[in-house]
Amino acid sequence: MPITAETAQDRAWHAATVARVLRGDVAAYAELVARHRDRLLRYAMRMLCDADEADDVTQETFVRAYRSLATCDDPSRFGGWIFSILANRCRTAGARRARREAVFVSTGIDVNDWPDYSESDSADTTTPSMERVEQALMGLNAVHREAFLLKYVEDLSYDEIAVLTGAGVSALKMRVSRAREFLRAALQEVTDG
Amino acid sequence: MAEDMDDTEALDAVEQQFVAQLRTPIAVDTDAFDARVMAAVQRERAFGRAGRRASHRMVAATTVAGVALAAVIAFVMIGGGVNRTAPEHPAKVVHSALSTVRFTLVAAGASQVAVAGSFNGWNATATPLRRIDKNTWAADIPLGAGRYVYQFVIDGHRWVPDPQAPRDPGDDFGATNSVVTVAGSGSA
Amino acid sequence: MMSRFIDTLVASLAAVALAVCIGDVAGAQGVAALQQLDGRASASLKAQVTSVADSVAHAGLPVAPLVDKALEGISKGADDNRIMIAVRGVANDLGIARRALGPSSDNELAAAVAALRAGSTPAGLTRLRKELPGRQLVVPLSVLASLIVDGAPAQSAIVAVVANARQRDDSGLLAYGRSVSHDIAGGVAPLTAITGTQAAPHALSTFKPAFTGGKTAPLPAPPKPKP
Repeated sequence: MPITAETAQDRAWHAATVARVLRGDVAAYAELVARHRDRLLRYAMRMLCDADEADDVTQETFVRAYRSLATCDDPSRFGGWIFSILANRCRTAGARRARREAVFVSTGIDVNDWPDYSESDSADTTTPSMERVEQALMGLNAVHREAFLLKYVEDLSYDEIAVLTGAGVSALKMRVSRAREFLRAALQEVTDG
Repeated sequence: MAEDMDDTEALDAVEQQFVAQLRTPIAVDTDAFDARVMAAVQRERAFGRAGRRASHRMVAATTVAGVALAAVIAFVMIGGGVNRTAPEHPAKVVHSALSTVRFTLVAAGASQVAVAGSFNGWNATATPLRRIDKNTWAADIPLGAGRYVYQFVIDGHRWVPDPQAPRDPGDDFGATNSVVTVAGSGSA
Repeated sequence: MMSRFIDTLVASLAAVALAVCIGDVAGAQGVAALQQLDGRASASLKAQVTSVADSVAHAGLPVAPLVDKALEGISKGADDNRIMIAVRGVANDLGIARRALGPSSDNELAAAVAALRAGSTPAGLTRLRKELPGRQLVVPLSVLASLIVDGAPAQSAIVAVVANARQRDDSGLLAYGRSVSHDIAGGVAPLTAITGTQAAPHALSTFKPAFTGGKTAPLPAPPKPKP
């Protein structure tokens, strides 16, 4: 279910839980964390393609959201609000990682670790393995990957994505189209056997 | 053509499998994750009280910023630039047929550094940088007007982008390239 | 009548010779570029790249970007399949760039491909050409790509690049691009960064979100970094 298409019951729960936190019940925030952790971690992982980075960014997102909780205009839509914080942090993390990779040599990329594309031991040659999926996703640039994930994994509408990213709908459609074109080509090797 | 593709077109079978894979939850120790978040949250002041203590994230961010600043200072001290108010891009924009561009990298622990890119056929050994102090490497390369993409190659096999340069969109081979743009003469 | 026949024959021979020369020039440039693959690419890869290059050259587009992409992949240890995906992508993008920009230099096309890959639409490139007549677009396109990669919405980035390109030469435009990138890396929302630094020198500014996802919930400004 899209994060923005929650039921009235969900929205009431969010409003009530946020209100408890704002009254000083810090432990209530754990309920919000538990509710949104999986979705946020998944998005961060798909965007950043690095488990440690995704963990850090998601954790940072929850802390930032807590810190600024009083400024959340509509607590009943906490899910969409915190998701937008995460998306922004993922963009910043991507830029920061590019600078870090040269300063800290030990985290540099080693192309000798490039995975072997042959998967002859796979019984089902038509289903892309998770590793192949991740490699294909990593082949997309960040803006295309973001648009594709928001559209097809998070199930947001183009209008919702436009609000989230600040990009125009037509530009978003172009990004999604290009992402699909690239992914089709990247995954074609699997179906070609 | 990409611009003709209908983005509302239904996903084909392969795409659907791809998306299904992407929708699978990430395997994580949820208790440990939640505990870390709540520990960080508990360090924040509860609502109603004034002031905040700095989190570990701020300390880490300050450390990264400090290291990046050290790299910038090293670059400036080496003589790479003049009037600047921002971390410098290695491109010097000179209106002449060839511009000399200085490429600099701070790479602790490296025994050799080279630059490879669209200006040298992506040859990972043809354009070595010289060591100018313990951790800093540099090369001055004459380039004509145009846009070039490149990466540094550390110890012959580790490819890293330039932390002080713009990034090239797309990472066809799993790593983002850096960009240097050289203006042509009479380009006003 | 004989003289008219001779005139026609000479004109026809001249036309054929000219066509051959043009073809030879395009072919020669392509051959020179493809020769860079000798000793580095497998025979199979070179054949595949050559096939795509032939189509590209036939369309009047430069072959060098395809060879460059192949060399990049070879150096980075990618397999042939991966390399050809990338090479075909470049070929496709060159065609889109040419249609969007009209007659262009090879450097402009390469920069336009970067802008497209960053997320600009072809219409955005056309607008750049239209709004900056007579201007070499390598630097404006390169700055545009950089802004979008850093997170600026594509349409807003085009407007900002056009506005700044009208006020600055290429040196100044590159400086503007660097300034915006630095602000965004420092936490300024991209949309704010591209408009905030339009005329002023770089300055660190407090973080302001470009979007909130919810209704109108702004994020707080983080503590200002100590100088």
